[in-house]
This record gives sequence, structure tokens and C-alpha cells, in this order.
Amino acid sequence: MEELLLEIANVRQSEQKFRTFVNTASDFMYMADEKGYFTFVNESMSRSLAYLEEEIIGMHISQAVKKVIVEEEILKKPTKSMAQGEISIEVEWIGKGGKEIYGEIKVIALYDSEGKFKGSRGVFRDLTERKRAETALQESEKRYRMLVESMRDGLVIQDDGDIITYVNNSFLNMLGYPEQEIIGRSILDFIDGPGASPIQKTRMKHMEVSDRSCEVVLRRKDGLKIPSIISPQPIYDHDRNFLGNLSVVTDITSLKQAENALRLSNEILSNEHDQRKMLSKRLIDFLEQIRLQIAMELHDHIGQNLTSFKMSLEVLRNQLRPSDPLLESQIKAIEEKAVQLLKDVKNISHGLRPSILDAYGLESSLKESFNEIQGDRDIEIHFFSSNVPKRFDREKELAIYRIAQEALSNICKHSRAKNVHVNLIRKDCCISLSVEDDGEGFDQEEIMKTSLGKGPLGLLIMRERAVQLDGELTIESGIGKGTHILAEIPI
Amino acid sequence: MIKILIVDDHRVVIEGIKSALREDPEFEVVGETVDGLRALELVRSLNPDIVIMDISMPNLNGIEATKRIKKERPWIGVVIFTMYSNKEFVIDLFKAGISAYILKDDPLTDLVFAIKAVKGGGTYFSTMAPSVLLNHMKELEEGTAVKDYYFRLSQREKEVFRLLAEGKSIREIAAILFISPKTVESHKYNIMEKLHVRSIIDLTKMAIRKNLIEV
Repeated sequence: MEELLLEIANVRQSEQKFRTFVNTASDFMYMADEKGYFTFVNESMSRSLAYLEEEIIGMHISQAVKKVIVEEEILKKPTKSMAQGEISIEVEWIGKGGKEIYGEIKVIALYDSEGKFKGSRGVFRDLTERKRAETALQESEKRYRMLVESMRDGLVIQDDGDIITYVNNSFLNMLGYPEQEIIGRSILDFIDGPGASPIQKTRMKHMEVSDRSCEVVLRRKDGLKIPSIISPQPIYDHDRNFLGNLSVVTDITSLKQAENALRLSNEILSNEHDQRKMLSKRLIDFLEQIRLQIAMELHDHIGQNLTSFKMSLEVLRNQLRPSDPLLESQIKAIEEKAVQLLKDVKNISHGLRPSILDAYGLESSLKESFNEIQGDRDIEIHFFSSNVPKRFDREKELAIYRIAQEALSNICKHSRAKNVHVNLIRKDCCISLSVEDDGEGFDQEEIMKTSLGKGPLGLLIMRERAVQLDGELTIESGIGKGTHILAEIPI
Repeated sequence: MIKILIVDDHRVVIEGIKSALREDPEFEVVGETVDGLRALELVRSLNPDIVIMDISMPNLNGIEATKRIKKERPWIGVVIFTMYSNKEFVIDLFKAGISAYILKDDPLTDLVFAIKAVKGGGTYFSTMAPSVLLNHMKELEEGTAVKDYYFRLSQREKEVFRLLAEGKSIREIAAILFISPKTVESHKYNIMEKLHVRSIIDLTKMAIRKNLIEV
């Protein structure tokens, strides 16, 4: 009896140990009777499924399991395979609050001594985390595939022998070939003419070259040519072995079209600019030509005839002198008018085309012209010149002379200046003319207009003369601040 | 008798001169031409005492023709009779050795006096000629005598000069004077040219000498 009690105590103790082990195990463990009702559930399982022990004991397995198939598998009469040992079944438990736990059950069928099925015992491992990772991987692969398939650029993967192993839909659409006609061929088969070599070289140079993008022309199945940019990226395995290239292929047809359109419109613009420049040059030339003609006409024809007319009067007067003093003084008066007329004609003709400019160059003509201006008006012109060649390009001499003339004429007409400083200086690359007065100045807005082709004609022509000779003209002024005109003409 | 050759590219003027000279029996117009080159030939063949010469002419202008005549036959008196009164023309012709310079708007009697004076070995100049020469001499004197060029600067240039001497940058000066940096740059260049200074240091020294800035 003692021994029996001891044995029982031992058995209890060992059962206790077993129970503790089963209950502290993190895996689910359960036992079910032959009809599928839980007879035992360990703590880990009841806790995870959020049932109390007394709630889950006696519950049918199908209530706690999602998939019917699994349920059937578990409840099925023992199969042979089962009889021989355990089977593994993927299963998803549903907890009390609807919580789902995914995992794998290893099920063992239990038999009594007579070989009669009397239930099953299962150990379950929670694989939710693994499942989640797998799903995430699948998701990311799906997203990646979607990206590749939805991207507008073509994507081509070549192996280390330049053979195409994968292309996306965009590439197929771009070339108009079905997939099976592309896979297995070299990308070089689809490149038109030159431009293929950089791609070939990518394999050779894949280690050192960073930007391997190159412009090529692809040939569609229908023969159409597609300008594209191919940007290959080498692919390596873990041991840095070259596996091939992954290339993004961008169709730049529209880019090229835009580029061409831009080039065309630039050409048109530049043509228009040239035309405008030509036109304004011709206008200025025409202006000079007309001035020259009028000047010569005045000087040669009217001037000389006036001279002759004046001389005849003088001769006539000398012949009359002793006889008629009244008539003599009348003729004298006409003579004086003729002389005045002659001077006027000379001045006008000189203003139109200074003969001295053609004969003696810019500096002398400017001095001459300043002397004339100062002689007539209460204004002082301080002229400074330095390093200016005695003669240079006639057209440029004339332009600078005209700019100075226009500036001085504006000053005399509008500025009420007392002092004008004119600097004519040869700089490294250009002749610089600056005309600075201490007069009333004018609104800067007037100046702005000249750069837009508006504003006073005099200022416009002045600027145009400089621009015609690839020079620049700037005007600075302000009310009460005087005016400063700076022209630089390259020579 | 005074043998005269008339060179003028306008027939009407030649006729006018001839009618004026006809009054005086001492004058004999031996030839006339409207062409500078032809004038040289006539000088050689006619050997006149006096040549009345215009400046603007075809083929050879009056200045060149005068130079050649005076070189070949320095005894011939050249009387310039022209519409031009430019300094450059006057000076060049003086250098070429002319004896008289008359403007076409001067009284014709001047021409008559001039011819007589030149024939007698003298000279005769229209009233404007001496003032032109005087001006020219003044300019030459100014060019050599004056060493302080500060007076050459305009008011604006003087301001820029002072600011440069104070060590201000182009941008700063532009901001102070409300003008563009490009304009300041141009002022700076002009100032240095006018004052014959080669560096900002020289410029500053000059400003100190003139008490324009405080040290």
C-alpha cells in the first residue's frame, strides 16, 4: 500500500512536471477526443486565442479553426499516413475576438490498446510573422513589377553576353515586337547604325565608367526609327561577378521634335534679328547718303552759284561807284544778304556732312564742331582725348561723330547746361565716347523707352548707330542730375 | 602784268573771278581749270605768277596741288580762295607755303589786294585765319605747359575721383551716386587717363596732395 501510494505520488509528480512543461511551452498544444472536441488545451493556446480554459475545453475544433479543409483533415478518420505518425497541416486559428493566428500543426492520431481511434493530439507553431514577411515580399515584388510594367520608359535586362533576358511592356510597345521575338536576342540587333559601340563597350568598361548613358536610334519592327537614350547599369552578384546590364531606355522622339522646333524658332528669330539689323543699317546708310547728297548739292551748286552771284554784284557796284551812291549802297545791301546766305548754306552743308571728317578724321572734326557750337552759345565744351588713332574705320568715325553731334545738339536744345565734358578715349578693344553735361537732365523712363525702340528719334538713332557697329550705348540721366551718354564702339 | 591761273571746280566761280579781275589792267588771266591735276600741268606750261586755288576739287584737292606746286616752283604765289575755314585746312595750307587765304564770302576786293600783296612778296589773310592759328598755338601751349590735370575732370568725375581715393569699390560708388557700375568703371578709366595716373594708389596720393581727402 505504501508502495502504491508512493507510486501514485511519483506519477502525480511526473504528471505535474509534464503539466508545467506543457503549460509553459510557447507552442500551442491540445488534445481532442475522437469527435473533435478539445479535451486539453495548454495555457499558451488558450491565452493566445483569448479563451478561458473552461470555455475552450469541450469546444469543437471547427469553431476555432478557419479552414474547413484543415478541420476535415484533422477530424478525418485516421489515414494510413496518420497511423504511421504525424502529419503537418497549415492552419489558421480564430480567437475569441476574431484574432487570426497562422501556423502549422503537427497532428498525431491517438489509438487505444485495441487499435480504436480515440482522438488526436496537436502541437501548433505560430508562423504569423513568417507569413507576414512572405506577404510583404510578395507585395513588394508585386509593386516592383507594377512599377516596371507601368513605367513609361523601357526596361531591358541583358546577361553577360548582351543577350536580352527580360523586357517590360513599354519596351515592347516602343519597338512593336512581341516578347518572344526579343528575348534571347542581342540589344544590338535593334539599334540602327552607329551608336551601338558605346553599348558594347559598357561590358568592357563596366567597372570604371559611371555614366554610361548614350544616345542611339532604335529600329521598330515596322521600320520606324526611334531616337532614344539608353542608360545601362551593371548587375553584380554577391561576389562582384558581372551578371549583365539593366538598362532604362527612354524614347526621346518628342524631345528631339521639341529640340528641332526650338532650333527652328531660334533660326527664325535670329533671321528676323539680322533682317532688322540690316534694315536699320540700310536706313542709317540711306540717311547718310541723303545728307551727303544734300550737302554736296548745297555746297557745290547753291553755294558756288551764290558766290558767283555775290561776285557779280560786287563787280557791278564797283562799276557804278562814281555815278550813283544811292544805287551803290542798295547793291551793297543785297551783297551782304548774299554773303549771309552763303554762310548759312555753308553751315547747313557742314552740319549735314562735315568735309573735314573725311579729310582729317574724328578728333579734328569733333574739335572743329565744338568750336562752332561754343562760338554761338553760352556753353563750354571740355574736350579730352587720349590714344585715339588719327584715322580708323570710316564708318566708325562717322558713327561716333554723329553720336557726339546728336548728344551736343540735344544738350543745346534741351538741357540748359553750362559745361559739357566730352571724353574720347581709346581703350583696349574699343573707342569710348562719353558726353557728360551739367544740365537739367531728363526722366530715366524716357531712356528706358529707347531700348524698346520707342522714345525720341534722336536717342534711338544714336543707340542704333552704336549697335550697328557691335557697340553699346548707355544713357544715364535724372531730373536735375545732368545727362551722361556713353558709347563704346569696338575697333 | 601779273600772270594769273585760276583753279576752281565751279565754272560760275571762275567767271565771277575773271569779271572782277578784268577791272584791273595789271591782271592777265593766262589759264583756268576745274581739275587739280590739270592745274599742275598748266603751272608747268604757263608759268603763272599767281595761282588762285580752291580746296575741294576732283582728281587732286587744293591742298595736295598747292604742296606740289610749291615744291616744284616755290616762287609761284598761291592764293587760296575757298568756302572752308576749318582749322585743319588752314594749318595744312600754311605748312604747304601759301601766301594768301581768302574766303569766298569775304569781299572780292580782298582777293584783289591779296594778289597785289603776294606779287609784291607779301602775304594776305582773311580775318578768320589769324584767330584760327592763335587758337591752335594756345592748344599746343596747354598741352605742354600744364602739369596739374585735375581741372580736366568733370564735376561727376571729381566725385568719383574722391570716392576712389577714399578706397570705395566700384559697386559702392555706383550705389552712392545712383549710377550703374559700368558707368563708374568708365569714369574710373577716364579719370586715370586724364590725370595720367596708373594706379589707385597714385590717385590717392594725388587726392591727399590736393587736400581732397583726410588722411
